[in-house]
Amino acid sequence: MKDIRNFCVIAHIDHGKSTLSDRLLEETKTISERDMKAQTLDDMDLERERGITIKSHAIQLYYDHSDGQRYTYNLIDTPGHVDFSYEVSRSIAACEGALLLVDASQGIQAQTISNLYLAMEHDLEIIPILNKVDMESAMIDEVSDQIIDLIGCDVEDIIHASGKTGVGVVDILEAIAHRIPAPSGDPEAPLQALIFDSMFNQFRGVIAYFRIMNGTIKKGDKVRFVNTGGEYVADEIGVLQLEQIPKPVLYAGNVGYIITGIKDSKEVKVGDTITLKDNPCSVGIQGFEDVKPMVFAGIYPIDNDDFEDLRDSLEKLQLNDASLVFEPETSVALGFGFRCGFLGMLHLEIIQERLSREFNQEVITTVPNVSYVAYTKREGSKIINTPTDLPDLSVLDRVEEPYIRAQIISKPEYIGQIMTLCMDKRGTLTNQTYLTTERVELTFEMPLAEIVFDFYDRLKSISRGYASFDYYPIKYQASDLVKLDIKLNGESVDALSSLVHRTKAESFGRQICKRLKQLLPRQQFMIAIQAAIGAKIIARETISALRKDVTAKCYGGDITRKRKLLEKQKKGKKKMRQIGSVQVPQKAFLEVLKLDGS
Amino acid sequence: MTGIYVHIPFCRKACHYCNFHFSTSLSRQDDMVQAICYEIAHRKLSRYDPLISSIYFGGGTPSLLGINSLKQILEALHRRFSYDKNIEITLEANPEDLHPGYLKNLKQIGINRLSIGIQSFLQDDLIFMNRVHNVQQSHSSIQNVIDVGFKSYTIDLMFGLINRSLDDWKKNIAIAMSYRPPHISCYNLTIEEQTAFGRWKKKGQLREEKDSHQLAQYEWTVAALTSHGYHHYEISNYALDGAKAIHNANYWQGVSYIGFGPGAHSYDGRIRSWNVAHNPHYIRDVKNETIYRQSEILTDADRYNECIMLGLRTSLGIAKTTINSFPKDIQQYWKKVSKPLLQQEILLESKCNYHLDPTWWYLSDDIATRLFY
Repeated sequence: MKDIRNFCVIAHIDHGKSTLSDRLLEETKTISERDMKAQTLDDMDLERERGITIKSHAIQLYYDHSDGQRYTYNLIDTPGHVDFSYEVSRSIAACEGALLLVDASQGIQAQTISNLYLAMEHDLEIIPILNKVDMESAMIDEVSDQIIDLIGCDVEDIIHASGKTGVGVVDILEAIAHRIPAPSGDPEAPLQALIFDSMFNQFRGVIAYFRIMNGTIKKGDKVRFVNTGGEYVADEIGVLQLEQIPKPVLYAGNVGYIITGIKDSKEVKVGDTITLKDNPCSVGIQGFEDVKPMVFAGIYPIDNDDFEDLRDSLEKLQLNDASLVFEPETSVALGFGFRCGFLGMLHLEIIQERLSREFNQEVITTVPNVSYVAYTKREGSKIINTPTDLPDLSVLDRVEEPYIRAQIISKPEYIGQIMTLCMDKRGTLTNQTYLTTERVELTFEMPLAEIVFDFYDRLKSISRGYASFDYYPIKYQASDLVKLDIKLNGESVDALSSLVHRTKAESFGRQICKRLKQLLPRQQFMIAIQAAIGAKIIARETISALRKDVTAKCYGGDITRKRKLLEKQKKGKKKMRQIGSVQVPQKAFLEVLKLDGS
Repeated sequence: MTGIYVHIPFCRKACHYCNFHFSTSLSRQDDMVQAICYEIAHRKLSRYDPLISSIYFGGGTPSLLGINSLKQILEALHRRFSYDKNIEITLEANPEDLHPGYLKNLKQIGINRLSIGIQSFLQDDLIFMNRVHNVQQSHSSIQNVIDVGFKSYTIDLMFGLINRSLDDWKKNIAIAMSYRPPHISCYNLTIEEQTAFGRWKKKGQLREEKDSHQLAQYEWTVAALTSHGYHHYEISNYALDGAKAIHNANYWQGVSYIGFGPGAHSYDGRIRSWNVAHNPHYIRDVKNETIYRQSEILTDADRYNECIMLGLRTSLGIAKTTINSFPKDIQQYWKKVSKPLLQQEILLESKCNYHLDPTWWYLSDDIATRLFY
């Protein structure tokens, strides 16, 4: 056990985590340069494109240290976005150390800090690394000061590195064995293994990744998952190199995978504890949570005939993304579809994009909302995941909405605008700390619903991209919410309904109407767009009728050209949905939320 | 029967709105005429009915050609094809070319219909469009055509120009009506990408007239010309009794046509082909059938789409017999997609056809896409 080191990398998006990880793999000969696609750890196309790691992975490398010893390093990758903070916390719990990777030209970002705090709470040994030191814009002294302020290290503890040139890679590998403690744990104790990630393989079923805290696991053991209570046989266990390497036995301190033939990813929950059926541990590992979706939206096929195909696709996506939940629902406007729950807005966008790319499913996503709790006067509480489920006002006692704690880090000059934005979003400032003279951290409590609506984009634009942001849910709180309906030519479009705070209903309604006016193409008749609360119309826009859609000349040579042009137009119209008499483009349902000149 | 189109790809200068194939380099006119005659004599045309119902000289500016050139082409045609007894032979002409002497010669070689590119009777409009002729020539050309004794002719006018009032357009129509031409085409200006107007629009230097203004001018035209006894038989075309353009109307009914000259299109009911739209290449390659022509085979769906697209712009509409000539799945598709339009009374059904009311012709592209297969 003393030659094992388990660690993760904490970094902000684009701070070079994947590139640096690749360098570690290269330097330890875990992977040859020739075999390597850039950024090996992110293997989904989408991740590669967006430069973010959506699902974490783990990899084992061997390092021949200058102290003469050969070490086993388990690098546990972590997802790098606010929507996945629970997964990050489980990865951190599986480690003894963390590489804190900071881009020397950009400095520390909010998300890095919240993950760093998480790592420090778990007593992880932090190795600070200043990355991209080769860049001209690197602010080595300034960013070093930020790091020192944050973790209280000495300036010489900070390793200077560049994933691009390879500078510092050996220093990092040396430091991992020196600074990060070996795992502790009792191989003789009852088995306790923390599941920190899982993936789905179409031939092998769900593969769970774990870290053994105590005990020993052998191939063929009967195991039990403490929180779900599921019992299985360890058909195969092993360690994770570039491929899975089966092993007969794994001991406390190590990181590995287990295959039990589970077909349903919902049975494997991140944070759960694996123990032995015959010799179980007395308690599961602390910190397990059943992750609940935070944001809900309807997903509908453009063509109603594709409903079953969409169900198939969602089921397949769920196999390797248990955090996606869905159930069938019907909408007056859109017909049959699914109400889906997501961890956050990014998660929603990722699912939508994967549906399009991997399954060729073009879908309509309705206005997203958070999960509310409605208390009725007689029948107690009810969870509201779609605005149309809101009970009638006559029986409604109150509605509670989820609140989050938001941490925003920015340059001091943007404090004023950020405060204005957050107050506008019904936030309350609870803390303000200067991390350095050039970086201030603001903490707000605010409704989650306000973040769903164009918060992040606005934050980025008012701070010119300098503000970074992280959040986690804290509580439910009563709110004065009303249901805002959108009508097209007098007909309510349920897919565009939303629950909004009463004080904001009017301006929100006005903005939505305005936005729809930009998004709907002109049609053969006038379109009235209205926003209403109950019977009361609070905002209105009209789109004048299309007057002319024809070309004057159509003779011999024009015919083919014109036919092809119209065929192309028809394809564009196929991506629209008929609601009552009005054609609504697929994109309108989501784009309508991008208010305020974005 | 078959229609023949002959493309004469030369102009004195480029009009700002025109995206047809032409060149302002006039030096190789004779070579071009020889090449066209060669194509007429040698092209394989076994799939076409050799009985010809119409010949149409379009351009470019066919009236740029001297009488002998036109005569040579007509003789080449006559050697190859037999003519229907009521054959319509049209020449597109610019006003500046229509002198009495030239007109008499045209008549003599067999041209029996003229299409005069008047465009406007207002000098400002002509300058705006970059036309060669002036208002006096707009007038004199028509007078000369009448005086020389052409019974059949048509004039082209253009509306929907930028910053022109409805009153300006009314003036134009009033002047046109004073000649009472047998046929008149009123085209709404369409700004095409590959034109001067198109480039200015892209740069933001020119803004298309509001569509409500364009529609008002169109609606006024329809009302005025029908009250003068004209039949509005296609979105841009109006004719007195018996004066409908045979050649153009055939395009809209799927009749086959053969196009000679650079850029000209042909259609035999199944295959559409087109000659290279490049004067020197055409002249060089015309002797080699495979090089100067490209073609595509139309599927049933393509033909159905064309029949919808064209039928919706005309008073003849879409014949039920045409719909019924398509395979069953297309017929069923038509039934499904036409139903809502019939219910909304946008599409009208009569005994033999389906058609749009002329007020809807202005949205016929949009409607067509809803019926497309």
